[in-house]
Amino acid sequence: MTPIISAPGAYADIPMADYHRAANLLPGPSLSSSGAKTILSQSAFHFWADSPMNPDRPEEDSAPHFAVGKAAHDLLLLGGDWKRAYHVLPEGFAWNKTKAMPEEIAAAEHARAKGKTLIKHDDMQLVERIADRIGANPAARNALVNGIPEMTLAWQDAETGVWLRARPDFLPYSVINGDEIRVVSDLKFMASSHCSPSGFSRALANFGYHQSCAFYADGIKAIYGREPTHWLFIVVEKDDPHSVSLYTLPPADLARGRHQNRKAINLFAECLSRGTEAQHWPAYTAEPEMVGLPAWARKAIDTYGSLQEAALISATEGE
Amino acid sequence: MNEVTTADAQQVEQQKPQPDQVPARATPRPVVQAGGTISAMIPTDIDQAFRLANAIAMSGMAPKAYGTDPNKCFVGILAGAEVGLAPFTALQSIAVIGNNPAIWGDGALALIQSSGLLVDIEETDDGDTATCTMYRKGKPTPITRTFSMDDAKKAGLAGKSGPWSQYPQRMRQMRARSWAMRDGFADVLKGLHIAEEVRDRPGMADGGDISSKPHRLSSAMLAQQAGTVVDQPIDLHDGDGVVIGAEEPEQGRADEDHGDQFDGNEPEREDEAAIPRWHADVQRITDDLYTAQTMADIKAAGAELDKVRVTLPEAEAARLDRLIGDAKTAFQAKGA
Repeated sequence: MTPIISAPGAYADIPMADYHRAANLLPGPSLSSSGAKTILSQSAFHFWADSPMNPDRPEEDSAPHFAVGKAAHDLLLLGGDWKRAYHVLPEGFAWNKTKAMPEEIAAAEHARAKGKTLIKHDDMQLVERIADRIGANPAARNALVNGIPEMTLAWQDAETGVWLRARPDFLPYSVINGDEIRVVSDLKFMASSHCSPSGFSRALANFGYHQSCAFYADGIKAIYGREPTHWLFIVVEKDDPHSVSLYTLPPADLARGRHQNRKAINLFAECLSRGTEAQHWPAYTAEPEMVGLPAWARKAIDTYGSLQEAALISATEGE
Repeated sequence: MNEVTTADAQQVEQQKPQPDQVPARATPRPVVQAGGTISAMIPTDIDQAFRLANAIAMSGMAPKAYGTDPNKCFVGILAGAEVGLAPFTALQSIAVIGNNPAIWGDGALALIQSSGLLVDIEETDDGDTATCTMYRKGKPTPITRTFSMDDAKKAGLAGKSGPWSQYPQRMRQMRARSWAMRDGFADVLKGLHIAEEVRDRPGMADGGDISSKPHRLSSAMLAQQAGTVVDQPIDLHDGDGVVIGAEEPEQGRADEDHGDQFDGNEPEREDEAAIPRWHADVQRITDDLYTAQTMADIKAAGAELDKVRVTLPEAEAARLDRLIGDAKTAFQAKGA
């Protein structure tokens, strides 16, 4: 099967579905940032199971689910292309109003057949409210103009030679041109609990955003010769009042992400060199391994006798 | 006599090691030695140093900056060896900041004290300025260095969160001392920087590279990247051509609103798909210039450019200006 991409580089016209699922996207199996995170947070086997190497890979949900965050994100980044992916249902729309809205129902059916995401009228208003809130923040707006959305980057790892790929939401021209300031922004729609500085700090650790940044940085470096100078998260609160916060990633955490990615890439390369069948991609353990209590539980039991007693004593000790 | 000789010979024969014979008794226990001097384990070649680095890294007891990387530990041991520090002390005293080894202030003073070159040290602080005076053996002039809060302000250190807010007096003292040490005992420190000082440089505290780009991102930098200064909130629906959402379907049906006649392949819609928005303007003006028949056409393209100029990146506007200039020159030449 001829690969869709046969040489390292940046490609603007790769459909999202091909990027995520095509077995012939690149000349060989490839690793993306989310794949690297799966390998580290779960196992090589979990990565394999959701890769084109798995002949029984689970089907992706064919009808795209509506997500306010994703839609607002696309509304901001895709501009005119937005309508190619979304269809807004008129006010009062219902599938059973065959007499009152025959044309609208036909249009919605047609859009669904085309794989577009359907958005209810009320939801669209929410999408617009969120997009407005971002638009009202000059710094956030500036971070999201003058660039190319959904660019596919493909390159080979210098150390192991395996194919790597990334698809930054938005690649500014400053990166492509090698300007002095090269800020790559990532729009995140987060639950309210993850929007504060402390909440987002936890989100970084939980969702491995620093690893994604490091992965993209390596791709950008491999293709454009220069790394971005800054990584900016535009954190938008999903629920009212839709706060917009701008957080930058410290260089040291980018380095931590790179260190983690290296482990994942090496493991990917090692498994791939053995073969593409399931048995070459180990899950958590191959041999019996000792798994004990977490350190805090050990300490609590050793000190207080049981977790219940520890809780009771800790409660009074804090007074 | 003869018998004795035979017996002796047999005894000797028995004592000879027999390759397939297991010794009847376990080898004697080694004698416990006492009275040795306690001394650091100093590697004498690169292999030993690397094995030691590996062991320290694997133990997880190397200072945080070294992590579990044996290569970093190895470099720390090497850097320490050059100034006469034992391996483990070297790792404790030498910090790797922004990929450069630097020695902590206390470690540097220890080195200088153990060199035997320091006669005396005097440190004072008047609440604003810290003074450090060092007397070096064989050098009559003392080395005096000061560091004031004014210096700290100029360097952007005063009021900085962290130790400069918590212990300014200690930080002033360290800075004055570090300058005195570096100026008076460069031969002992052999070019090692003082960690407290290096750490205060912008972008260095968390492993950044001082030669790299400015560390803190500002709104002005984002505006610079965007190519246009946006200081007013933008309304997405005011028709300014930024991002327009899907039209309201209830305002009357247009086919494309419902997506049923629009599958993304229509060539006439390509301009709308262009990202970014200014790209379409640039393309249109460029096309106009290439197809211009009269001077009026060129001027019209120029007027179009002026209309959209503020939305274009500078480089694009300059390119179009050049094109217009070239077109005018070519047209005039043709006319002549």
